Amino acid sequence: MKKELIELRVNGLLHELAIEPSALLLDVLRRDLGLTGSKRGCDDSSCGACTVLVDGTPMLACTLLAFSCEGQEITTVEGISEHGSLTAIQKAYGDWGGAQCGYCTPGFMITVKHLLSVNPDPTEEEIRAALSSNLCRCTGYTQMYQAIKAAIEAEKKGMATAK
Amino acid sequence: MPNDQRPETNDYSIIGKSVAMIDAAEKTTGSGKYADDLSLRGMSPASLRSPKRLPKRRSS
Repeated sequence: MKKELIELRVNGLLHELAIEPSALLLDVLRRDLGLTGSKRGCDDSSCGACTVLVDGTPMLACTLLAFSCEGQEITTVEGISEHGSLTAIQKAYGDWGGAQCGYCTPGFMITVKHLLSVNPDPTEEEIRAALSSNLCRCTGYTQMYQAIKAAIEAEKKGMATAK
Repeated sequence: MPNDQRPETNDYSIIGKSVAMIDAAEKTTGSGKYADDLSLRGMSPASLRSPKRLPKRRSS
């Protein structure tokens, strides 16, 4: 298929790419841009390992055409660290064992980032509901809930200290 | 085991201590490489092809 030019804004950087109109966003991110943090898990929009933010909304890159994202801001797991340092949730995942094999973790990072951006102080039920879009085959969900709660506490303390 | 029967762990260097996961940051930032993330010079894609029909199996 003939390639066409597209401008994609990923993690704040504008890329001009020649891609097939049928190219999936996940393939463009992983193959053309070398951003392999977003994972191909199930490849049929069941598992959430490929979750990225498109204009702030979590989307599954494995079933999304890259061309449909032109002009929108795409954020992958590579783009969520703040000024090169780990965010509270990334640090808490390490402290609480939220990542086991780690393959599903980038998708969870995006989902949690979105949850906390729309709801900075979610209830246990709201955390569980948000995480239902992602699957972890190691089944380490309990550690993830602990990590997320710890990260929220850390953020609150941080904000209190800043005041 | 009830807590009062547990051996003292102060003498151990690892048991009873919280040990940092050395690869946690790579996993949470997406920088860790899995087999599917690797691309080597001269690497060719390969796929498995299975026969459309399977041979008859004898029950023995």
